[in-house]
Amino acid sequence: MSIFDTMEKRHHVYEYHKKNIPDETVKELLWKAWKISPSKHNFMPYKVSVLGPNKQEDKFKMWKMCQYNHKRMEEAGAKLPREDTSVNPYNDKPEEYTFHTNPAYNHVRYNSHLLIFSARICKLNGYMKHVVKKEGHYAEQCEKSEVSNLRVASSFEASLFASNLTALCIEQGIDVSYNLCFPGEKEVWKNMPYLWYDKEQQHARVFANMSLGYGKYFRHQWLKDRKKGIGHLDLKPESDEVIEWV
Amino acid sequence: MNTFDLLEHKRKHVVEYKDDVPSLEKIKHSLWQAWKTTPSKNNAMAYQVFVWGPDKQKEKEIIYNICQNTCVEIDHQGQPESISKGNKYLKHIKDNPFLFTIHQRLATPNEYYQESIDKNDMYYEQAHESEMPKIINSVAIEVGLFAQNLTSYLIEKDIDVSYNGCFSGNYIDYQKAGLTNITTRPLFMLTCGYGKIYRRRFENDIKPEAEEIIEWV
Repeated sequence: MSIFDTMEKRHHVYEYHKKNIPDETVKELLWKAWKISPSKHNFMPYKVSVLGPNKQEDKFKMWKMCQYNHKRMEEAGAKLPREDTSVNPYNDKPEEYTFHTNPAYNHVRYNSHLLIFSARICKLNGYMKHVVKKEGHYAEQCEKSEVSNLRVASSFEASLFASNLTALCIEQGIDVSYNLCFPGEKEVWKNMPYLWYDKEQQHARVFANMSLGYGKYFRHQWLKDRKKGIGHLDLKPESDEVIEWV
Repeated sequence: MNTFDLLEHKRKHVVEYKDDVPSLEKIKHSLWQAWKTTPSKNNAMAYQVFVWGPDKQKEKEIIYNICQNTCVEIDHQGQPESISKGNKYLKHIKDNPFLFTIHQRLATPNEYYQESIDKNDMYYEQAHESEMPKIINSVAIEVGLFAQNLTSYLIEKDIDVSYNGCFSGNYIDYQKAGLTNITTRPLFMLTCGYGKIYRRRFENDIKPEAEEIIEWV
C-alpha cells in the first residue's frame, strides 16, 4: 500500500473501542517513529509522555485543560470578560466546567494511549560538543531560557515525529487523533510534573496531544449524523489557496 | 514500501543536488497528496506553501544569504566570542531544483464554520490577524505534518529532500531584500531534487536515546 493510501485512512476519532493496544505494540511503534524522525543537530528538543490505559486520571486532567482553554478562547472571542490566565481554574473548581463539552476532545479523555508532546532541555552529543567549541555554534536547545524562543521550531519537530507515528499506526490498523487546544502558558501545568522542563519553576511547554486506539465513531460520521444539511460544507481551503507557485 | 523502510533507508540530508530537475508533474502531485492528507484544526490550513522553481535562482540566493546571516547572528548572540561563519550544510537552499518555504497565513472560515460564527457559536481565531502570534505553535505543528507528508510522497518518487530550520522568522528581512511577496512569518523551508552529495554521518553525531525522548508515565 502506498503512503498516500495509508494516510487517506486517517480520520479524527470521536470515540474509541474499549479494547486497548498492547503496550509492547505501542513501544515498538514509538521506537520506529523515534528512529525515522529527523532533528536539527540531532537534538530532538521535545519529549513524548505516554499515558497508558491505567492513567485515566491524568487523561481526564488533560481533557479538562482542553475544555478550559476552549472556553477561554470562545469567551475572549465573544468579547466577554477574559478570565485571569495566570490561574488555572481547574485547580479549584472543576465542577464549574464539566458541562462545557466539545465532542472533538473526547478522544483526549478516553483512549488506549495518550501522548503528550512537550519541551525538553537537550544535551550536546559528541559531535555538537566539537561544533560548539571549535566552530562557535550556539546550542540554544540546551538552554532553559530559550524554550519560549524555540517553541515554533520545537513544535515543528515534534509534529514530524507525530506524523511518522501516525503512518506507522495506521499501517497496523490503529487509529490516532490530534489535539492542539490547551493552555499555552508555561505556568499552568503544576499538577502534571512529568511535563516540566524546568523542575524548579514547575514550567512546561506543551506542543500537542495525540491519542491512539481502535476507532469506533469518527468525526465524519458525526457530521453526517448530527449536522445534516451542513456537515458536507466542512471542507479544507482549495489546494491553490495553500500552495502558491512563485 | 512501508513507512519505516521508506524513511529509514531512503531519507538522507542532501548537501548538493544533481543538475537534473524532477518533473513538474511529480512535484505537483506530491504537493497535492500532502494537501489532501494533512489534517488541520477547523480545516483552516493557516499556512501557505511558496514553491520556488528552477527559474527562481536569484530569489533562492537571497533566501540563502538571509539564512546564513541568521545562523551567524544567533551564534554571536549566544557566544559573543564566536568565530561562526554560518552553516556549511545550507548550500541546498541556494542550489536546488525546488525550494518550498512555508509561512503563516490568515485563513477564511469554510461555510460550515461560517454558520457557527454567524450564530456567535464559535470563535475562529485563524481568521484574525491579532491572533496570528498566539496560534503560531499550533500552526507550526500543522506545518510539520504537511512537511512530513510531502517528504514521504517525494521520497516515494525517488526525489530527495532536505530541511532547513535556520532562517529569519521576521518577514521584513525578506521584504527588505526584495522578496515583497513574503508578508508573513516563515515557519519552515525544505528543498527537493536528486541528491548528488549527502551529509556525512559522523560517528558521534547521534540522536538522544529513545528513552530520553519517550517517557512512560
